[in-house]
Amino acid sequence: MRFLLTLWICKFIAFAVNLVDKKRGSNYSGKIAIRLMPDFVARFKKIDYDKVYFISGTNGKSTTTNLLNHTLLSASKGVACNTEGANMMGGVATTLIKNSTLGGALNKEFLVLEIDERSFPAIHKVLPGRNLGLTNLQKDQVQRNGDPDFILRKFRGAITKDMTLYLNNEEPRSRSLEEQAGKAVYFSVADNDKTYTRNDFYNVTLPCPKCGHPIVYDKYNLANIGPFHCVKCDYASYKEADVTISGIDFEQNTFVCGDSVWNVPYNNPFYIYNFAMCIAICRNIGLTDTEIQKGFASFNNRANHRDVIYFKGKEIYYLRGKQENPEALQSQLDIIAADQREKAVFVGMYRITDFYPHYGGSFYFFDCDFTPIVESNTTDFVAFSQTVANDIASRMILAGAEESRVQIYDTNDPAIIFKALDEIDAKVVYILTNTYHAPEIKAYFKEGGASNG
Amino acid sequence: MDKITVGWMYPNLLNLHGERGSVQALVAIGKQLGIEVEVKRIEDFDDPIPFEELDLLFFLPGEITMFRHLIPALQASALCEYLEKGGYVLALGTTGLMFGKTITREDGSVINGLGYLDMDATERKYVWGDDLHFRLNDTDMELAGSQIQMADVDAKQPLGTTVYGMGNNNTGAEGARYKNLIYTNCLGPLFVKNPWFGEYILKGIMQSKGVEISAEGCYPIAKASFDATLKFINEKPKK
Repeated sequence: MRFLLTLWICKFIAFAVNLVDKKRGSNYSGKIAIRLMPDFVARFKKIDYDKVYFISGTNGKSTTTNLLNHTLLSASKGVACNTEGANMMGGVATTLIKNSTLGGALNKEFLVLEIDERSFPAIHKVLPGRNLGLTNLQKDQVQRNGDPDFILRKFRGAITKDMTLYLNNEEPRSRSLEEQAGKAVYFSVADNDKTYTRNDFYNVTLPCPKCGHPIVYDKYNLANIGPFHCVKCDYASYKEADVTISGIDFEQNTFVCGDSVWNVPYNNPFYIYNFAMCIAICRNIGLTDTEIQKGFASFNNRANHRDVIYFKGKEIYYLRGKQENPEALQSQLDIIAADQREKAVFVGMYRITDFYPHYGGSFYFFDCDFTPIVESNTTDFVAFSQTVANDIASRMILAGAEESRVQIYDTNDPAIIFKALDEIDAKVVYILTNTYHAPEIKAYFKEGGASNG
Repeated sequence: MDKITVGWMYPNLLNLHGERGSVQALVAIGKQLGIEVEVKRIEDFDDPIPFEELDLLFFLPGEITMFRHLIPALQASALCEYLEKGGYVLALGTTGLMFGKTITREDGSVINGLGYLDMDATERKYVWGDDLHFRLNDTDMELAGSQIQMADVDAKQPLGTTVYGMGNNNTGAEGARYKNLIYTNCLGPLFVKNPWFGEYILKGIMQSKGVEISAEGCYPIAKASFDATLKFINEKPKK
């Protein structure tokens, strides 16, 4: 009875919050439910654990979760999903509150949940779903996660033999969890036009999760993702995975998987891996490739992290991300480096202020490779943001940027930072910031008369 | 030109927090001082360490899980002799713990360290990430950076005293030192944000070779970074 009372109260709260402000409804009711009843999530009925799909990992979990949800919906499946991105216990509880009957029974066939890596053990304990898709496990939010092994251990301790894991064949750390599960399904991306090799002296990889000796990447499809092998043991990416995407045409937005050519709305390498995992899961569910393709074709990722802005005769590419780990940042740097036109590059990294204590760590920028940007016809470098601007500048200079071409602005004020545009000859400009500062930067350009491309 | 050879210890195995930037910075600092800094990568823990060629063994931050491989390998090497002869070893972040006596893991298991530093560490349940500002105990030098603390550390001979930050364990102690074995929690990368500390190390190494370096480095960007970090620390919201 206590469960039902809690559920009813929280259903009312969810309804009320939704009326007031839809943006704040992602986990509020669930948080209250957990406070009132710590094992609230465990009390729901009619959950088929074989149809519970957890999506986790460092990069790509939100996109993959939304993509899987969208694809299942487009195939007329009933899906409950935490699409708003609240991926801890409160968010899971909110999803169940919103997708259950008054009697506490899940009213959808599938439960698709994006899960925060650290929260997985606690969530799996009360909601023992049998499917887990892992995008990758990399350095991330070190003030929370410390090091990747901290997260790997959390998964190792929680994955059970009745689970099926969907694993990235080219990411050594997450793939090593194959030993913990009853079944592993592997997804892979073949060599493509954006595949690269790295031989620079300062390049580092990671220890083999199985024997501790160095991992070598034969090639990279993304930073620290690519065909790999251990120098000592036999741990290596498989020659053939269960799902492999090949024949990627970045111009036409197509790739080959199975016997057919797939049209997709997004084509950067991160997305290709997300598509690959989604195909692996959907095929296992029993969807046909035609049904999956239909879902992909109509997928619209709400999180837009890129804009083209025309401002004072300049073509400005504004890229942004969460800026919590080097791999995600590197993927944006790769986009800039791929543009060989004469250009200026503005980088803002910011203080870390999402929880106490705030701190000024931007050191993950030094895990990224900035040299390709220096070597791709970049004439001017601008390092900005309060407290960490000088460290960004140091990164640029150590990568080979000429010190006299590096401007430093220890401020977050767009009016001061982008005054520098007046003195820069390059007509192409890239701006890189985190997502949280995007509104003020976009507002600055809009008020200055910019037009969007 | 004077020369220092740095052994970059296990770059792929101790690879955290962008500290490879400190290796690059050390080369740049050397250039300012007129010292050629050559870096040799020591790739794997079963590779022989050419101690006789190395003036500094530089261990960057890594994961505790690697200690089970690295500690036996280093025990079997001539590291002890190298240290006792005054060889320089620098260990950053979590990696420094393996030079102490014991590391007690969160599950209660205990790893016996190399024992060169008189210190014991206990793995924390929660990571602590924050800024760090401290003074070296044997000079007036101040360092600033960040720390990602995976363990509480009880060191009998600290390297420095904190002005702000957790340091080893919130008692004011930061890092540890035995002869020329130096452990600090300070990240940044360490030598990018504190090139004067890199200069201190390089000059110390040259002095141990009987060479006095009179040149002084000029680090305006690092100095501005240092000032900005302290300003931020002083203006930080309290919990």
